[in-house]
Amino acid sequence: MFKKYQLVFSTTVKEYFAYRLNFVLWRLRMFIYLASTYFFWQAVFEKNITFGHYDKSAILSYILYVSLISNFVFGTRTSDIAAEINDGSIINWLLKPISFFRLYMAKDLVDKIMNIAFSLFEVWLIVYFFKAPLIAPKNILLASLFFINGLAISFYVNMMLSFIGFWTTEVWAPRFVFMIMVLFAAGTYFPLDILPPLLYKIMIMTPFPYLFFMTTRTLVGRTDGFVLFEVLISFFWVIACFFLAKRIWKKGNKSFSFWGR
Amino acid sequence: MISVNNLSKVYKVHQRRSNLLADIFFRKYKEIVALDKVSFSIGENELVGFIGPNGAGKTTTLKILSGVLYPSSGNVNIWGFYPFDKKPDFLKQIAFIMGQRNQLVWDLPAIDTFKLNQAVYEVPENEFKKTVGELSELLDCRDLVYKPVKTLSMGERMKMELIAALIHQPKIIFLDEPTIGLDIFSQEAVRNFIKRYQQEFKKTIILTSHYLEDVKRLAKRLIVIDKGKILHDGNLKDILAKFSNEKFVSIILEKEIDETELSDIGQLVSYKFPKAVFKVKKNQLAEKISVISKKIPFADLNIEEERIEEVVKKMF
Repeated sequence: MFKKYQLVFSTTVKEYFAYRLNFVLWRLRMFIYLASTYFFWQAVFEKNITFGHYDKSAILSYILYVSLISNFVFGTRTSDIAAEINDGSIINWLLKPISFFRLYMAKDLVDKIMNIAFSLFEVWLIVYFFKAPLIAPKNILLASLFFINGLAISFYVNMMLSFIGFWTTEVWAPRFVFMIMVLFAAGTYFPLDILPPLLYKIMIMTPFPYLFFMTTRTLVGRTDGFVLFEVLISFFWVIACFFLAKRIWKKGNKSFSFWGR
Repeated sequence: MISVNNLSKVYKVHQRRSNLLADIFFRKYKEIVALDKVSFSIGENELVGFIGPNGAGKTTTLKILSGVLYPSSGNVNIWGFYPFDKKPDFLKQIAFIMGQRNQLVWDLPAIDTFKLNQAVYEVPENEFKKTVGELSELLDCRDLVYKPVKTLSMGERMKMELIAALIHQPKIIFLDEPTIGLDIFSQEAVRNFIKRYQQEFKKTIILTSHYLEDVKRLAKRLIVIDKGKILHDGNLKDILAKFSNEKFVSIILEKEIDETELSDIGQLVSYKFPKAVFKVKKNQLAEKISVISKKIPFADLNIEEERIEEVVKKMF
């Protein structure tokens, strides 16, 4: 049963190797992002001992861990779906005895593995050459739980964003808005708990912090005691995103006209 | 085997206006009836051709029969399956081949797509090898399966597409414009393949095409469709004899001749030096060609069938 998804996986790997240069240049861009954020925070700590309740080693570790985790959590091929819907080639998958969601899970896994492989090397470069004070990972079990939930939320949200293609060809604007939200609300450039408490409390009710902020915060040992509330909220978002994505998929399939496609 | 009753499909299409705000917040939709209470049935091993002009409802019918589209009303039944449910047991028995877009992985050799489909349809290895061998033989393309798809010509890609779609030996094959965009040699190769495949493997094939030649050569039964309604369902010979009684003779002139001189020969449809096109009754074809040969010096002469749209127009 899973052989078909293994084949999807290996075929996607081969596709990646057909465009090696594109991928390497993409990683170079990501490395520049990572290095700039890292050096920005290092400059901040030239004059400060702590920032919020983070000291220098905690925040620099946060930046490096978040780079690794976000690369894995956010690696996706789901953006191809909207194009497939718009040009009608999605029909090729709809008419095959294969689960569309599992198909894209297999494709996403390739993207995630390729990205994390390069990301590990990039983080190693910074740790090795700039003697980054990397904290050893803590609370691995709890971090794993947040990590898995983050993967699920990211996958289903990405699927939903692509399914917009069933109703309109203008699919890039919602994805772009989501990406901007991720940059600010998922903790890509700074830990969210340095924000004012009220703002932070509001933010943890949204799905964004569960993409990779919670995992990273847990890994650098900044979880304050019992985090049952955050765990429950993350499960809530997983379940909500799962059912919403399935519902939108069904509705999209039913109402889509494939008019002229 | 395939039973369709009162099938209708209405598309809602967004109507753009000049007002940007209204276009965003107060969208207006127009309803387009693509299929209007269509009924027919198709038996096992039949090869049926759907013809009609653009927007007639041919592809919509195929998409509903295969399960891509959800019908607005009516019933479709294929071996007891409702296609839109897309049950794996149903999907394993059908193939949908589109001339305008392919399922092959662009950057990889076609064999990779074949293997992917083998896994998706759970085809045993020995069966897979046998099918790929037989189909490559029929299409005369054994050496193409290991070349990256992006390096193949359109005709070669279509051959690979056919193999990829038939690896699981489907019982029903939906062919949507399989020869569109192909050169005449590739069109011929695809037609020959479809004919031989149907004869050899006894499959049910439902074909849509703009090219009269495709359906003339392949389908004994023809369903003519226009504006979502079936205009005729029956034998191809009867339809052509009944509705297509004219041919077009186009000539490439060696020197410019006055239009009135050409009009004296027969019904001149168009004339732009060096090309002139005459519409000729089928029963006067030999006589007219003889007159043209005697009176007009030409470099080339072609006889063409009436366009399918013209034949369909006459059916009202």
